Amino acid sequence: MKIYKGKIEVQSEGLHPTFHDITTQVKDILSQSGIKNGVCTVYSHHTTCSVMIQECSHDKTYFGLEFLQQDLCNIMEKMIPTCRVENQYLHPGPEHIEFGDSVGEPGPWTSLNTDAHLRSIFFCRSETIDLENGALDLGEFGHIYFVDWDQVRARKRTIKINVIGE
Amino acid sequence: MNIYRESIAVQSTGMRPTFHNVTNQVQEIIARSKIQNGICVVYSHHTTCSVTTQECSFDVAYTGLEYLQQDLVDVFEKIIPTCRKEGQYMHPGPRLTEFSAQHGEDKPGTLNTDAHLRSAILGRSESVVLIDGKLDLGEFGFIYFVDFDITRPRGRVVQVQVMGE
Repeated sequence: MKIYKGKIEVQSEGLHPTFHDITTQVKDILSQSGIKNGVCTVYSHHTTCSVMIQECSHDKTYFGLEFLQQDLCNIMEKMIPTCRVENQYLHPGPEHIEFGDSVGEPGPWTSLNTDAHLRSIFFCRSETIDLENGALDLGEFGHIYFVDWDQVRARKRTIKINVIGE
Repeated sequence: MNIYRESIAVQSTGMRPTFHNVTNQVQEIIARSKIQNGICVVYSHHTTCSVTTQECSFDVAYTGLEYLQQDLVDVFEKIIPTCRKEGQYMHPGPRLTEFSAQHGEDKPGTLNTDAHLRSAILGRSESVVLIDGKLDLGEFGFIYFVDFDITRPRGRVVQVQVMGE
């Protein structure tokens, strides 16, 4: 049994949720690992982000989001509207803003990502993918997407890949 | 450390979201694996399906769904209504429709946007802790494979991967 760790760095656009198709990079890490059977966990510690396996929807909006991704954003907008001003949600409260200051956040506006935290909880932090004979079981059409729900600014994000097996 | 892998085949009805209780089959696979401690990953690659662990609700609606399953479907119906025709959601768009036709899927078959979106929320797998040969599902937990695609009856595959010693 072996464990192999890799990581992928991406850059979000801000302004709208960003979906990164990281399938090729995960497959590259998998082939570096030499592991043929087991599981591959794609994980992100960012609490305003998610990992999702979905099909490619081909058609794209003017912002570059695939149609299915935009449908998902539209559903989320209804359930958990984009946070536009303080006090729209309880979070961020005064203690949180103080904490943000103490860790060098550029301004209180960076904490107006309550929607992103809540949306990220629905989709969770990772996906674990079955690995058989050196191939990820993504079916014929599955892609691995890293979703950054945080729209308040463009951000650099890290995704961790853990391959466990033999 | 050992790895053992098997798959389970299921068939949906196509009339409404289908919930398959795969708990017994997963437990049989664990018994065949001889693995006593570790994790069991129940996974499906189908992007309109999900795996969930939930309690059995006993009572069954006229639809054949347990009450809790019907409640879940009703909640999803509110937030992600069933896709009934093109233009209701952005997906399927013209390029997707063309791509699907090239892969043997007709236009009605692409009207499963609701299933993709619901499945994206519930996720693709569950990892269950395995202790002394038993899945830790608590007293009342069951493993369900959910097929949200109601455009047609479909054969589906669930992968079970047991890892441990």
